[in-house]
Amino acid sequence: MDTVDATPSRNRLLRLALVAGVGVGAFVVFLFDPSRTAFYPPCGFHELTGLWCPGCGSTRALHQVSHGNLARAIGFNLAVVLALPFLALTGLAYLSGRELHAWIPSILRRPWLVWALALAIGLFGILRNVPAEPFSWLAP
Amino acid sequence: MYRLIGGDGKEYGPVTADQLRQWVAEGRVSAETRVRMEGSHDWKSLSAFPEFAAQAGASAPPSVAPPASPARATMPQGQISTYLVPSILCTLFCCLPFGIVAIIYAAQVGSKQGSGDFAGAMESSRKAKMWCWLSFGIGLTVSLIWVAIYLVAIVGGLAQR
Repeated sequence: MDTVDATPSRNRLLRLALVAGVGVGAFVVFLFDPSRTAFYPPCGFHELTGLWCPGCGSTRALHQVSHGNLARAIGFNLAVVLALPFLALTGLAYLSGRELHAWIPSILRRPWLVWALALAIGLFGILRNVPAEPFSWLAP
Repeated sequence: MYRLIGGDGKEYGPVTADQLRQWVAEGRVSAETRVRMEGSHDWKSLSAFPEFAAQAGASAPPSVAPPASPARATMPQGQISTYLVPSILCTLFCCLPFGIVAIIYAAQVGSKQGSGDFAGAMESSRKAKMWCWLSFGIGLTVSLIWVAIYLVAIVGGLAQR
C-alpha cells in the first residue's frame, strides 16, 4: 500500500519545497537591494563575455517589483516583469491541483505560441546589447 | 486483462497488462486514468493497482488525452511534458544561453507532436529536460561557490580585526 501513497506525498514535499524556496528567495530579494549588496552571484555569462544575457538584471528587477516600482523594474529587465504574472499563475496552478494545472499547459502547448516566445526571448537577448538609443533602454 | 476509460470518456479494452504498461510509458495513460480488471465492477485510478503504481507514479505527465483505440495504436495522443516553464526560469535566472536551447527543444515538442512524430517529440522533451538541468546545475554551482567565497571573505575580515 505504501507504493500507492508514494506519489501524493512526494508531490506534497515538492510543493512545500517550492513554497519555501520562493518564500525565502522573495524575502532576501525584498530586504537586500542587489544594486547595493555584494553577496548576490554575478551573471557568469556577463562576467565571461561582457554581454548582457536575457536574464541580466532580473534580481534587481525583482527587488524593484517587490517594492512596487514597476517602472524601475522594467528598466532592469523587461522580460522578467512580463514573465512574472505568467510564472506566478503557473506556480499557483501547480499548487492548486489538477484542473488548472491541466488547463494552463494546454494553452502553452500551441506550437506557434512557444516558438514566438523562444524568438522573443532570443531577440530580447540580442537587442539589449545594441548600443543605440531605443535598444539600450533594454539593457539593465 | 483490463478495461479503462479514456480522456474522451469512452471505454477501451480489454487490453493486456503489457499493453497498458506501454501506454503508461508513452504518456497516453496517467496515474489518474480509471481502470478496472476484466470481470470486476469497480473502477479505480491506475495508481491504485499495485502492479502499475510504481510506473504510473514515475512517469506522471497529467494525461488529458484519451488512449487511442487499439486500432489506432500507431498514432499515440498522450501529453508529453514540454519543460517550457523550467526552460524560461533557467533562461531568466541562471544567466546562461543554455536556457534558450531548452526553450527551442520545448517548442519542438508541441510542433513534432502536432505533426504526429511522437518519438521525435519524446526525444525533444528529453533534451529540453536535460538542458534545463544542465543550466540549473551550473547556475546553482556557480551561485553556491560565489556565496561561499563571500562568506569566507567576511569571516576572514572579521578574524583580522
